[in-house]
Amino acid sequence: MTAHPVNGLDDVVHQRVRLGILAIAHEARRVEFGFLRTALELTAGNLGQHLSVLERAGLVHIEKGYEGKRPRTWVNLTPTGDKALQEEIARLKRLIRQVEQATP
Amino acid sequence: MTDTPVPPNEGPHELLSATRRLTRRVRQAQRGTWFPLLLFVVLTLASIPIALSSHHPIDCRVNSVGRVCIAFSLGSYVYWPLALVLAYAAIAVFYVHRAHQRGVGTRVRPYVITGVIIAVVATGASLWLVTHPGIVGYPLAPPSPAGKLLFRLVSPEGAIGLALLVLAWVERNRALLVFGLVYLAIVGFGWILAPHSFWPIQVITAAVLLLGSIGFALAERRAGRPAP
Repeated sequence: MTAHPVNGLDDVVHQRVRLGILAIAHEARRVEFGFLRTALELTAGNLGQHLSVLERAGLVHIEKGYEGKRPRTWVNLTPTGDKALQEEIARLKRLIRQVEQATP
Repeated sequence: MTDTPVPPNEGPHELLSATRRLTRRVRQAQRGTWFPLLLFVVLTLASIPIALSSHHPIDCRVNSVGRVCIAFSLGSYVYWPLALVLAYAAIAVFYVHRAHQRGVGTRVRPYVITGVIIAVVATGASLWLVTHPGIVGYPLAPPSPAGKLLFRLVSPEGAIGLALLVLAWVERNRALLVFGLVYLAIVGFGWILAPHSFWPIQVITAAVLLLGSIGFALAERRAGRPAP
């Protein structure tokens, strides 16, 4: 008997904003803080907190630097982050399938 | 709050569709399809005087239907490989710069590499076909429709069209896939419209590319606008 997909959900990834950050970083290869903030409609502080959680979990790598006098922060998905994203998407799809199968 | 749980109204369906929406938004930010199309318009139009000035028959024979010739344009064989390699370099610079400005990375590298490879292979294949015309029946018969199609697909315009299909895959852009197929059909079967002269086809393909460039520029501009 296979475990119910809800049991396998990763608390770090199974969160709307953090899943969004991982999805954007996966598609964009690398993404700038400002793009994430606009796309996810978050304040800088809120986004920073979510990024810290992902960085502590080793799912993203954050590069800080300057372009001229303007500070720029770039977010890259790590291989662990990529794997976590794929697993979360697979779990969500499995969950949908199981719910649909259970619905008469 | 950093650890806000998924709201009860956001089930797996909603999470997945939100993820897809974000993915589409990134793809829109990465796209710059109008630029390569416009660049190819310029290259195609610039190639016409070069081809006309250096175009000459290298071998003519008389067969059952009349006089048939194999023509060769040295200028085109020098111009196109160089122009295409430089164009792909310019496209790479454009995409990298634009994506960086928009705050995302770019996926254009496979397109640029494939474009250069297709351009070099097509030039080689085209030269080989000109030096081995027997493969399409020369001099006993005029080239068959399949032979003409082959000639057109290994032409620089064919190479541009094949590479556009790669760009459509890279950009996950269905509209560009359809455009690329239509463009290739025009390149491949354009000889029906002007069987004895090549330059009207060049003008038609340039016009198609220009229309595509304008269309994609407008679509990209519309997609970049915030929803009302």
